[in-house]
Amino acid sequence: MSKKKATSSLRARNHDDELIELDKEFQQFKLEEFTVEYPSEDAITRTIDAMRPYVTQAAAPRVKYSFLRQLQVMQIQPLFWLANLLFFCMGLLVWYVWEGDPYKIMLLLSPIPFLLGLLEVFRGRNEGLLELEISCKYSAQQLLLMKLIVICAYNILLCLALIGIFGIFGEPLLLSKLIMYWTAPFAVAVSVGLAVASRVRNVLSVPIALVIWLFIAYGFLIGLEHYEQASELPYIAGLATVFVAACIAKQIQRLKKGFAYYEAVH
Amino acid sequence: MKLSIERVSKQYGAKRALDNVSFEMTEGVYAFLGANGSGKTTLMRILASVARPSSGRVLLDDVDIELLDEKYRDLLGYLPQHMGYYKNFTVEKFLFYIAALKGIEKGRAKAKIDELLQAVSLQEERRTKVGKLSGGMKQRVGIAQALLNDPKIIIVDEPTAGLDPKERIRFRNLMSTISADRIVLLSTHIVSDIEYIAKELLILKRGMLIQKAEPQHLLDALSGKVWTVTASPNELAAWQASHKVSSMLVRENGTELRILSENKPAPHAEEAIPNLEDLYLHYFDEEAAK
Ligand SMILES: Nc1ncnc2c1ncn2[C@@H]1O[C@H](COP(=O)(O)OP(=O)(O)OP(=O)(O)O)[C@@H](O)[C@H]1O
Ligand SMILES: [Mg+2]
Repeated sequence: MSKKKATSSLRARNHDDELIELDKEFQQFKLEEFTVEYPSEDAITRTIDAMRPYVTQAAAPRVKYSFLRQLQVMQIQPLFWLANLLFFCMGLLVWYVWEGDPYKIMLLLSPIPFLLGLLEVFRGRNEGLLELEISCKYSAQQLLLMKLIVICAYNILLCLALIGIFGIFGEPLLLSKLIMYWTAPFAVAVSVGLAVASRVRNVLSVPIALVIWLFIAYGFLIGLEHYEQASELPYIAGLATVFVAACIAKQIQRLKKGFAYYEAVH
Repeated sequence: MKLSIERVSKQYGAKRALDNVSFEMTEGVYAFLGANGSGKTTLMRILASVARPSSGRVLLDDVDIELLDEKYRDLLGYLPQHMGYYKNFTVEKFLFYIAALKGIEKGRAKAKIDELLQAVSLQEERRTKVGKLSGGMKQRVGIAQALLNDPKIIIVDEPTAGLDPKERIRFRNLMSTISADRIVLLSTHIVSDIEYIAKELLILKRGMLIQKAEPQHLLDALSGKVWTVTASPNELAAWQASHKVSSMLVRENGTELRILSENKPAPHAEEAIPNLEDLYLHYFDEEAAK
């Protein structure tokens, strides 16, 4: 132990001697006459800029990602909202002027804004943005469902308004009949729209979904004329609605999970 | 960080766009050189996870990017070669939209957008509709969106297409500054874009990776094969027919030709230092000749 210390202090002394020698050598070079120029502003900025990438930035804050905040940025064209309002007015007109059956109006008209909304959903694809959109953190599939939900919610809102108006200014609508004529067909239309949209990945999905919808609506109308009197029908329709809605909800659930958190993985 | 491409092939019907390509990338700028149709975009699309390889795989730090999925895309900044825009969006709105897709919270997005608009000098156009921008300006919006999420992996496909020389230089400096702790992969046909900044050049030919090396290494391999000769106007055609001519410079005493040749092409020829243009010609003479 002590021996070690001795050698190390010896080494230190040797080192000091070396330094003194070196100092003498330096003095021969007349170092004191050497001036160091202060770097220019420009050089300083350049150095700082060059260093910047090496300085680790503060980690991105883990933000809880609200669904609503995402909605703010989901840009949906005004035309879409207008077209939907137009259908709303059409329903009113048919009912008021031509005294159409409010139930049949609901059945036929209610899903159309949603199906047209698919156009809105595929807008990005038409304009060649898809490639960029699917390279982002949230995939196009998520974005697609996201927009569909917004469109669907707006659609339901309009329908409820229509039902309200029918009820206030005309005969109050029967819930059991609404289930048969509105919720069940509407849920089917939405799921058809979703199914087509996720398989046919372009604007063609809109006419396809519309045509399929017209056939289904026709089927509903025929079926309802025949079996309207059957007392268990509202229950079957109700069950069907719940079942289809559950399927849709499951897709929505998956989507929400994707949007729930902003995970920083750096 | 290490991005490994393992035996990646891509088949489009009967067309083999990529043929068994393997290489690795770490932090720094990598530049793709290749003639039209050589597979640059195909490979970049696979790396940007917008296309899947027919066979082979891509690994980030030894994990398949398909498994990383969302986590991988979160690290990614991608500029497609042909990009669409929502024409009625303003520049700012478009960037906010992409920021939302990238999962960036609004306040952070705003700060980042300010910073990037400055970097691509588009502050004055921030409220202009994208449809009204010039081609080069649109391209700069594309560059800005790729950098929104502070990506660790930047894949930009012909990012300088349509940029004026001043903006090209700005872009080059930007890439070189940010590449210290990121992987930057860019493709280009303009060799001056990558001069001085590329860590490695990747040369693709008909879907195959035929070279991957430091630029200086490739240039050294070419040394002794580039010559200059001065020719009179009536000799020019003969020279062009018999040799690979990489450039011509009109001078007082005739035209100075830069020639690629294994041997000294003429007694009065002088050896020249190879540059990237010569290199490009060396690998893609058929294309350059067109
Ligand atoms: N979607 C596709 N379907 C069929 N063939 C394709 C497709 N995309 C690319 N190819 C073919 O693959 C080959 C490589 O194309 P790629 O776009 O990758 O070339 P590139 O190197 O990017 O060319 P450029 O310099 O013109 O951008 C080409 O022969 C092209 O025709
Ligand atoms: Mg390309």
